[in-house]
Amino acid sequence: MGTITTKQSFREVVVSCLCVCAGIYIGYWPLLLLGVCVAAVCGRFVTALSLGVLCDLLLGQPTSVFHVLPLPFVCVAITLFLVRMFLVSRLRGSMHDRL
Amino acid sequence: MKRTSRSGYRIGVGVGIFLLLLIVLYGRTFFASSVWFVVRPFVAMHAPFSGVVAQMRNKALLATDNEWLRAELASTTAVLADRNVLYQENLELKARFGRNAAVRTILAGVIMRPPGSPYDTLMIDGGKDVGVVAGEYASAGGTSLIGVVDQVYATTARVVLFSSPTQVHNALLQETTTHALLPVVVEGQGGGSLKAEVPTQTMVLVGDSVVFPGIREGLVGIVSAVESKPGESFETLYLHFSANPLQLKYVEIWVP
Repeated sequence: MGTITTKQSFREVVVSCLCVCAGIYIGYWPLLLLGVCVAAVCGRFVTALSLGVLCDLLLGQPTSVFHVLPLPFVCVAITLFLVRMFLVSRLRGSMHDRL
Repeated sequence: MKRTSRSGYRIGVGVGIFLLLLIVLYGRTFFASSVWFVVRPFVAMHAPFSGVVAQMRNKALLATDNEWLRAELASTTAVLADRNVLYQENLELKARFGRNAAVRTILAGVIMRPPGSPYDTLMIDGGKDVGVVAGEYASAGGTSLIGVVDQVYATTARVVLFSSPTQVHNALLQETTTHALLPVVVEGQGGGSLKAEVPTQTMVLVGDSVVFPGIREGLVGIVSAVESKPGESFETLYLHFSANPLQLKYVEIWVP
């Protein structure tokens, strides 16, 4: 699910963490979102969730139309991870049919 | 059998995540305080690349900027001195009628501003430790209000700007031509911009001010444009803050 097994997985985790750190240091919140998205899309769910929680704690609850979402970054991480899971299962299914 | 154990594992993970998120939500203030305690020194080192950019700029351009800023500073200093005298006079007059309208403030540094923080918010470096209270107004200086304190942590706090979308406040429009006070509803538009609506044929001019009702009368915004469409019974006023909140280094938090 989110275990770092290969060099590539490690690289994905490092890249997403670097994005978040850069976003905090430079002061540009879309980089935080990018870090969470990279981790979720690469299948590093635990990393995405942890970074999402960190971002939500840092930036607080939204004030605009998204104020109904108490943890928006976590929601993005979960949604992207579910979309990824769905797409991977669909792709596997189609490959299996072809074979 | 194997499938059952796998689905059980998934349900377990889902429940675990749900519980974790519940804990985070329940103890949000505590966790956020801890995170900000660690992150604050790094965030406070703001604009790390501004020096590099400044080096790259043309010297002649910088000299022109400098000259223009000096001229602007001279005129602003004169206006500010005049304003301070008038403000003091205003306070004394209110005091004679038995009302103390003086505002006590706490100075705080801005450590994160848009685009560092989303939702049109500012993070300031004063929290419970210096007596910042949620719900109090934040000003750019004096009575020029820019927002309200939303969340207070141990050493930091979050200020939501009035220009944040969904922020709606009742205020008074001070017309300079007729000296009339007109109640308006000020709405945030994001990016430091606000808007309000008034009936058409109201004598509103660009530069008119909008203030909060009350003895302390905080200045919310200044009319920057008036838009009226033919056939409509209302015209839209676009307002901006008296100081750019995205360039502020310090803010003052009003104390009750």
